[in-house]
Amino acid sequence: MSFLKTFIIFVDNLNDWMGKILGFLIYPTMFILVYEVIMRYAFNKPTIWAHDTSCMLYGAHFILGGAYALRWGAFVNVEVFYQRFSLRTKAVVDLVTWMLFYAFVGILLWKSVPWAWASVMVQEYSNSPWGPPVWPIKLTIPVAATLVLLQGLTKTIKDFYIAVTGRELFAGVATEVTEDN
Amino acid sequence: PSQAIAKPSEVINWKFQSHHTPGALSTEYVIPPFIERVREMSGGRLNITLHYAGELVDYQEVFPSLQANMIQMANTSGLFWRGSIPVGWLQSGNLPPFVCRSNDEFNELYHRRGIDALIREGLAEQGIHFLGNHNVGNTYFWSKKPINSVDDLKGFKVRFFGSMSDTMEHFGAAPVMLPHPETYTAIAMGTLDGSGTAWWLYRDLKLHEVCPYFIGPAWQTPQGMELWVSKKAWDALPDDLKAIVETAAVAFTKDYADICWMQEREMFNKSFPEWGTTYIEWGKEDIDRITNEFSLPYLDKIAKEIGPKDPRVVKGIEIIKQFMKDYGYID
Amino acid sequence: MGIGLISILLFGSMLLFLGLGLPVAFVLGGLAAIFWGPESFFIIVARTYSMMSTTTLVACPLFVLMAAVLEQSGVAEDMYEMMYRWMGSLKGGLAVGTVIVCTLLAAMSGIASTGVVVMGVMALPAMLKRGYDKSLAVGCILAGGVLGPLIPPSIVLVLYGTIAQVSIGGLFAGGMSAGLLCSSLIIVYILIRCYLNPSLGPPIPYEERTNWEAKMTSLKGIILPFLLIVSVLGSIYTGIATPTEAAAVGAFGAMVCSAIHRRLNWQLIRNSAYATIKIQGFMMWILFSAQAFASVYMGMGASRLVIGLVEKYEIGWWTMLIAIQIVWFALGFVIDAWSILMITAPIILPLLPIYGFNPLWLGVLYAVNTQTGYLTPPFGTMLFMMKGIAPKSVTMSDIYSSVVPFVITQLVTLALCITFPKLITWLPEVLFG
Ligand code: NA
Ligand code: NA
Repeated sequence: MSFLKTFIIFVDNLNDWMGKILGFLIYPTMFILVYEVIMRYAFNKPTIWAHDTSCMLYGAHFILGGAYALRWGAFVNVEVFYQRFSLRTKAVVDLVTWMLFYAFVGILLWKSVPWAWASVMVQEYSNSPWGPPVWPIKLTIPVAATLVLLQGLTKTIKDFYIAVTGRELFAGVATEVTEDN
Repeated sequence: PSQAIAKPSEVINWKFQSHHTPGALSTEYVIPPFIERVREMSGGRLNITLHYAGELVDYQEVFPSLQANMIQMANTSGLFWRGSIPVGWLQSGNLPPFVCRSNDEFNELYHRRGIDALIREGLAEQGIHFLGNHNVGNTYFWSKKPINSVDDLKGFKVRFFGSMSDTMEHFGAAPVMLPHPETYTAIAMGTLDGSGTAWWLYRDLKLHEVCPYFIGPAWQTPQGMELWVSKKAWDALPDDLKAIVETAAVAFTKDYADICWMQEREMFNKSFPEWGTTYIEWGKEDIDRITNEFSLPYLDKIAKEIGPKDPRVVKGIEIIKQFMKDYGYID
Repeated sequence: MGIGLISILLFGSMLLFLGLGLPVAFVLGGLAAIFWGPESFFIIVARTYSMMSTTTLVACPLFVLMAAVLEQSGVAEDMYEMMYRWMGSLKGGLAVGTVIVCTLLAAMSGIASTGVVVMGVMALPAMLKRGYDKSLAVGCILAGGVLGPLIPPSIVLVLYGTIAQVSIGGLFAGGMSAGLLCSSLIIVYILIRCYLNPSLGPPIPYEERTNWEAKMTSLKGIILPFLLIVSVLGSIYTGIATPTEAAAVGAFGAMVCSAIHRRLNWQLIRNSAYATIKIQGFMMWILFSAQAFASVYMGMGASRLVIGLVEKYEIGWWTMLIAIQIVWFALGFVIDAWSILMITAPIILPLLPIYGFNPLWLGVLYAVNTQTGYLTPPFGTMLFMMKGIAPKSVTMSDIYSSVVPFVITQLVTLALCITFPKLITWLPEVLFG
């Protein structure tokens, strides 16, 4: 058990840190576009890089932010019926339905690895007039899929424990505490 | 008309992913007849379904989707992957202004002097079977204010693509990169002074409502795209079906060039007076200046920078320059 | 397998897994992954990367950031305090104010989710705090929020204009008319509802009403938000910024506002960033998995379903018009506005000259009709966004039931626009001839 607990805590912390660092990407995204507006309007010198760059930052922000959102239970579900299930029923149902999660994110990982790797191999750059490298942004997809898979795995472990024992793995410890910033 | 068409023994289904929305020239006049032609000639053995822009995948994922054989066919452009496929730099949409100056010249350069053959070789290595470059309309630009010569480009805020954008910048314009769907609003509100691409987008995006000046002659005659087939799908075709697709592809190329040319004339002659569009045509002096000051050095730059990645690019640029010499466009 | 059976299986599985409580993104993405077979696996990657490369969507996190900063710095709270003081005697006044702000937000942004995420973050806590009924508070934000694609700027209308060959300026003018009509109907509904039952939107207690000092002090609360709205709208309509860039201007402006309030500190910067990535994370994962789902449905032949419906019957003008509306509305239950256009445009547009439908009018009807789809369960994107943003006390059932009256106001708008086409065509005719 302690190995599983360590694993879960490790994944939680990993995704926490990822989310907290990546969250700050929103500020350069904002400043770059404000800069573009000023340069174009006040100086008639639009950049060729602002929209490309802000778009890449935005893409990395949300794809990698997925694991952080999942770690904090932000992925919306319809709990109209679900909320009436007992703890154990919920766990059993989730063990079944989350197979779709593994199909989805697993295929995302499986198919994005060779796709991103091919881009790395040729050092692919964008077709835009600025032409920045695009392989780093393509690499974020397999990385994001891995992080989300790990986070999903922690849920499955917890569900499995509940299904077998009827108790929560982290008994007495709220796993979804509010953030204590 | 109950002609005796043999009952299809085995039906092959292909998905054709277009870059264009319903109602565009290609999806209205070119792709459906192509599909019908293939269906008829094959007696229903090759059944192709058309998917509009972004239905299955967006334009930038067409290449890996063909490689994965998720879609089997697309009319697309190597320009979009010039960052990973070197022969993409030879694609006609990527050429600088005033290389070809008529559709016949384009046919000569691409289909007879061997550019298509170089691109075909390059794409074959990438799992793509290439069926040739085709005309998707001539490239012009349009503006809120009159631009009577190269010198008037100074400070002109314009949305353009690829090498067209580089040309604008070279002559003192300020190319602006904006999301495509925002072009109309941006011009209407004055964020942009104009934009440019194939002429029919001036008509279809209603840009004539905000840009009363249309500037020619066309910078690219024509802007081109390419017909790509997934190599896996191609190799799985029996020889007779391969011949049918090739034949239909030739008709595709001709249909596209014809409809582009006829409707462009109609726009100039009938629509411009209705819209109140003023057509400004630059003279030989401006054309020669752009060709010598920008296009020629740009071609040399491609050969120098991309050549080391694929010698076909150097070969292609040589062919293009020889062609321009033969036609008297450069010395 | 026919497309009818495919549709039943696909949407049946969707309902089943949604009902069993699997997160929405995984229901849509998972079904997209397994439904079509191995050849379509790559669709998941392609759709993800497409969404990452859609430049206009950059506006999305920036508006979330703007809302988060305004909320955490207390600027939003000050604004609601002012509204409460001044419109306090009006039952439902804050909900009315919220709808008006939503309408302004719709004029700032070209994408659909702006109003819902911004007001879900800013307005919902403020209304709940003042005793507003949960259902009314959630519903009015959702109803006002979906005005985004109708009121210009609008990406959906640009797309329709390009496809149907209609003046985009004209569509914008028509969308503006329909949007204002819709927004007025929502306000009228709120006022009547709260007049009949004041506990839904309680007015300010009587003894506090005449406190002019508090009223005047609270006025300060509106100055900064007002300047912010003026500068964002102004930057778009004077051509300084595009709608996407205007979102960055708005977020930056919000930070300036909180600096003026002397509340811009490290904690605010950090918490706003965390709130933004959490909302953005789940929201975009829903959006790209929904796109993959729609692609799979289209790839398996969704358009054949519609073709079959249209070709089977020879029908008259009214029947055809109503049939088109029903098809759009029905598709709105399960897929988004853009996919609906791709599926139906090739079938419906050739009918325009035959039936003599005015394409501009039909385009605005399309926008009104499909924006209702954002609100209709089971797949209503905005409902899920709201669920992710709202306090935990707001359940999905609350949200589903909150939208019912507002789906009706949307349908009334649609019916009015159908019955009195002038409502839509008058402004474009005046402006563009
Ligand atoms: Na809008
Ligand atoms: Na819906």
